[in-house]
Amino acid sequence: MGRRKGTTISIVIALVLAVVSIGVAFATFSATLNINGTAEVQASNWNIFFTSTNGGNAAGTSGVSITPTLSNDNSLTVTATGTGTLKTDSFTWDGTFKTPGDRITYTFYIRNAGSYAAKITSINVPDISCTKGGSSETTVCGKITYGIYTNAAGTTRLAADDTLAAGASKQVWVVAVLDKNMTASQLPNAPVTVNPDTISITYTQQ
Amino acid sequence: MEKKRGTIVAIVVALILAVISLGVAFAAFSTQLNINGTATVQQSSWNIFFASASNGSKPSSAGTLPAANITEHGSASSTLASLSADNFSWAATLTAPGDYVIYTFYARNTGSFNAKVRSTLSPNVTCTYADTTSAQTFCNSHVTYGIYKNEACTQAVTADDPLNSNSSAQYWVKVMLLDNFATNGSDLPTQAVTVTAPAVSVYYDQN
Repeated sequence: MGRRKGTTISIVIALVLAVVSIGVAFATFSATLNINGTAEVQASNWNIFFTSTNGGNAAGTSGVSITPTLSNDNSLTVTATGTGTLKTDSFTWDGTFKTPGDRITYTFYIRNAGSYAAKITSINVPDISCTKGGSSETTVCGKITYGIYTNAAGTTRLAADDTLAAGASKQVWVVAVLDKNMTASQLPNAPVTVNPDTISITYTQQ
Repeated sequence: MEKKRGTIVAIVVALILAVISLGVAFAAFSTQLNINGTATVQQSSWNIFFASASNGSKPSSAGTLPAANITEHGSASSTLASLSADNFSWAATLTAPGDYVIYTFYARNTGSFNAKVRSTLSPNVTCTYADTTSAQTFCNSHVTYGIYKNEACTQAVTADDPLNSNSSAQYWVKVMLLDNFATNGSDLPTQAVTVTAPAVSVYYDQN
């Protein structure tokens, strides 16, 4: 029994030594491989705004005046008037029409001074409501065309999916027109107040 | 068991936070630009008509032009002078060479817009003798007719003549038997000549 125990101990010791020796041998054939890296998150920003000039700065919070181009689609004496104020994220205008064919055109730029390309994900064609003497008016109201366009003629509306690359500016035209084909009987016998819906343009990273 | 549940809860919370953080990041990359406007269509009207006076009101129906607006020269006489808001009709008898009749009235623009004459109906007259045969050759040589913008009847109303808002233009319509017959009277008419003139029509456009 004592002999057998001694044998067992010897075997265990031998195995331990073998394992240790294998470990030494393994250590002899091992290598350490390292992967080192550095990364930099570059400066970037998201910055889309209205500006009065191509490549210009944001219009600011106090706003800049935008003088409209006034014309008449019947080549008649222009009787329209208009004023406009451009801010960084809004454009507010006011105008008057008198002669059929009167056209008021404002132009300015939408600039993407940020790092990312953008596109329009939402824009509405504005409904127009009118009042005359405190009551709803539809005859004259139906003769007003209004919107934001990508051409001076006011024929192509700014629309969803329109893109604006990083660093780019897009010229746009806000146009309001009194139909040139109004008849004498459709002329208003009292001032008609025209209230278009707000046009909201939402740009999202492309 | 309790420890396992805690782990699951922690994972769920982490996922929710991750989703929320993605939403915040998405919102940060969106911009809304707004355009607001108001306009006023001013009161206006288009109102042009004939009147017998420079400040006259719009005739509601045809009426006789006042005698003061009619000049009968020589042995000439007017037999009809009817003026409505948009029409003037006349008739006259011319007997002797040099006879003429002049009618004067106004075109008024009480509307909001300036106007101008687009055109006038060509005031050519047609003439027939009493036996219904044509007297056109006679008229072409001896009768003149027109609508004029001066009292002397030397300047015809023509295209582009202005008629501004809140103003009047005085017109003179003159028909005359010219004093240009042969000295021996050989070309005087042997029969009465009926001279028919179209109604005076003047077309206006917005200017």
